[in-house]
Amino acid sequence: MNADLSPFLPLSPATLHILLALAGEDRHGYGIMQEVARQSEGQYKLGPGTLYDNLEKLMNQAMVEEAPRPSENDDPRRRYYRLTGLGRRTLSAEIARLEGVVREARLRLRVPRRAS
Amino acid sequence: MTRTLYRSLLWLHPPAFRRQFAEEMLWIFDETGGAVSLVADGFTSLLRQWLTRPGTVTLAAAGFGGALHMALFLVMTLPMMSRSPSVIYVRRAIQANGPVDVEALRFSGSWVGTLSSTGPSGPLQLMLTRTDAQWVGTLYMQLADGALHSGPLQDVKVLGDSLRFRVQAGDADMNFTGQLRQGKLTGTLEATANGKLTASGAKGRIVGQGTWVMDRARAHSRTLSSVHREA
Repeated sequence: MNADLSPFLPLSPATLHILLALAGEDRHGYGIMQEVARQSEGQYKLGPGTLYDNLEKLMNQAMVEEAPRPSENDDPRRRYYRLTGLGRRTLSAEIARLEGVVREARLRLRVPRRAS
Repeated sequence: MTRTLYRSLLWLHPPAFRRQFAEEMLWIFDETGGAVSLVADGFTSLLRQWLTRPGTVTLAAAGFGGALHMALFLVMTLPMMSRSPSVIYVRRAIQANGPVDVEALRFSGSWVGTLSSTGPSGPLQLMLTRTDAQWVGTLYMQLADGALHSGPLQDVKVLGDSLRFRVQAGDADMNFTGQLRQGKLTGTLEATANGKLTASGAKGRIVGQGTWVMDRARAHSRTLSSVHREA
């Protein structure tokens, strides 16, 4: 049986982008910001304030957790974050929901308008 | 100049947020060359952090009302009791009790409900309280065979409307994650093997997933904890 993820959905654009940025690999905050800008081809830019507001919420919801530093020589001020199992399942559920929205939108946009 | 302004904005954030993220935010500010747009972002974050933190508005209103009440009380009574030790007692009482803790009021108490999961399922009771800024409590659970289990809550985290805690149940760590909405606690459970029993598999393996929902226990109702005490 899968856990009911409906209390967490739909995700806000910032939350969706952050989870998506962490889906591939563990990243530090600045890395998340850069990845979000890359994924959206520069159309969606997260500032640190928005990023950490959302990271705090996601960590509290156990969707994101702090990850160990990949190298001892890394700047100690940089902290790394990673997706948890719950975060990955929530992201998958949101993508499935969005796929449904896109499918529905395509269907409706295909129907020709009645002439008035 | 811009850096000082940004630093001041970070300093004005709620202490818990500041402790966790301020240093990193300042590092990003330095990395990006201190763009002015980040100051606007920091200001938005500051407003959001204070305004969306549950209880802030209520606490501010209560604080303002309390302060007004106290000021009126003092204006009316001070001339009559100048040098009276009562004022000192009142001040000491306020210092000892501190401000009203809205978050503690929202989550503290006894909650009853049910858990349904691929692992354990059945009635639940959560006893939650906060002492000295630490959340503590006990989870009671009745399994399908009627056996009653209880365990202390570990790593309890309450922030905003969210609640997290962990309970060790024999060979598994049960991780509860939930939210308080319209007076109900609802959430998910993920149980992972803690490695104590080889039969449950390697440590960290998921051995149960499910959902739970709890309401506040009604006064004088028979709960799992009262059954536990009687047993």
